[in-house]
Amino acid sequence: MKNRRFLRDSAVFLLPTILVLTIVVVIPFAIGFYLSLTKWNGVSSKMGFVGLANFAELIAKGKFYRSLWFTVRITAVVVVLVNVLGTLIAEMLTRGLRGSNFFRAGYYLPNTMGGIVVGFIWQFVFVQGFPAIGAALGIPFFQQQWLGTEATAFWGLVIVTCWQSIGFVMIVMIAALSGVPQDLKEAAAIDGAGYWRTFLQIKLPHCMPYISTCLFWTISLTFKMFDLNISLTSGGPFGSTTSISQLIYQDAFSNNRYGYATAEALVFFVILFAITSIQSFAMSRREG
Amino acid sequence: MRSEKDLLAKGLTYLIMAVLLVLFLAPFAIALINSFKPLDQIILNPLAAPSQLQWGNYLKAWQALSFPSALLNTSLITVVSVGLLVLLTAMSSYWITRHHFGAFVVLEKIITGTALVPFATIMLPLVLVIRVMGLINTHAAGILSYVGIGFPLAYLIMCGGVKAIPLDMDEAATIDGCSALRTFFSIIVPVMRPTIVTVVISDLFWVWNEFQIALIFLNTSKLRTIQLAINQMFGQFSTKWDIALPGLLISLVPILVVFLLLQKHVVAGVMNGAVKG
Repeated sequence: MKNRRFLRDSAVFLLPTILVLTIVVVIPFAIGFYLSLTKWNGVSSKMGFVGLANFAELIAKGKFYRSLWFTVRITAVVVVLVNVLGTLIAEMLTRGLRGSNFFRAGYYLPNTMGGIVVGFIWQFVFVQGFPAIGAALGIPFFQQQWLGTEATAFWGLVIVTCWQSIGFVMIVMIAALSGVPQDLKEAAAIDGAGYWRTFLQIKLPHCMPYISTCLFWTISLTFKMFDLNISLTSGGPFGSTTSISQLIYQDAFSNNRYGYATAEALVFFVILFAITSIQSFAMSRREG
Repeated sequence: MRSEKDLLAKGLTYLIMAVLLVLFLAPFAIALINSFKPLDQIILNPLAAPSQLQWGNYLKAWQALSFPSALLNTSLITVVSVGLLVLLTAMSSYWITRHHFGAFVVLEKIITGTALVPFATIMLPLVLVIRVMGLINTHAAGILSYVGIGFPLAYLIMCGGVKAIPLDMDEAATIDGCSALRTFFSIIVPVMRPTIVTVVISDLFWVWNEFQIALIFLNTSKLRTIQLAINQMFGQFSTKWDIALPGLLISLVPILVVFLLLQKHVVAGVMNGAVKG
């Protein structure tokens, strides 16, 4: 009797969850393995089994590598910049200065907005604003065609991603740095440790769990980036800023190659899985 | 001497913070001043203040966006998705945390494991599943995807909240003869309020601003969300900045209002999420 009631309660609490996750993630994930072995175009009733041909093509052709290389590069640059700058800003905002909350809200603002809107606003800044600033101040740096060349388009994306994501790291690191015990800082001061030494060797190690959260967040977000590539650069010029998510989308919906795109999507999953595993391993060793 | 140095450091910090604030807000400012100008003035000198306020730009943008319909779709999808996410993750995290053995542990592994699957990986087969279910071109397709994709993170945050509740609280309720559901809704949920607020805030901003899932499942004139409406409008008016800029700014107003109203909760929510997630 009691057992039956437990089973019934378990069903009430868990069945909706099981249902949703099965429909949205588990079944599609499983179907994906089969789809990746077909040349399905998304419409026809026949999927057309082709074995590993999609994976062979993916390895043989350069397009996937190109997107992968772009995605890896931008992730590396953004992760470093966002975390370093976000932490430094958090440090400034935890000095107990008046008005800190106001500045905090200002820096966080871009993070509350969608990548599509943000990308289009920045397109205006790059296309119209920068040249005007450059002309007014006579600085050639601003006058180049920011979204028109491969190198500057890359850095354009870096700038906007940082501008948007720094707020998140900043908030998390404010929580982390405010949690450093006062006596720890005082002990460091008595021992004669200078400002930067206290910051790097006393405060930061104390924030490790938070830093790990920030790293996970920035890596996963940048590696999966999609919106900004669409709105700011459309993946260009010449496809040089096409992220993997965007490439999968294009191959499926512009080229109608669902089978091939699913193969790319699975390789994408494996890479992301490997990165996440390495990272959790490194972090768990670090945190002891 | 000492205080002079402190004062200098303080002044320098303020200076850096002010410059940073300008950098963070400048894109909005430049969009705002140009949104009131005629197109030729925007192109000629984007840094000049508008000579007169051309409110007609905003009217045109409002129409180009079909803003009321986009706002309604976004609100509906966000409210239902976040509501379901909160309900389902609260219930499952409570049950699994309280009965942490056997099949429940396996289920938890599966739930957290789904966090490793990027949307792009399941996107195409999911379209197939949604089609088979007959949900193509419905709000439900988007809502279901948001609940599934947002699940693992919300679940982890909820678990942190459940673990902080002492076991005797639900035991006392059970002894008093409360059913499991009753215990959950009248004892557990009120105690978990801070955690629930955290999940609501983080997923509210996520769903509201989300683009990739929306692009796949909601990109029709009937279902279009704000992000999609912006993308559509920009495709049409990409060089007509006198319509595009006011459109972009209009689209930011709702989320800006939410942020300003909930600012304290937003900040606290991100902090809590970082600790527990």
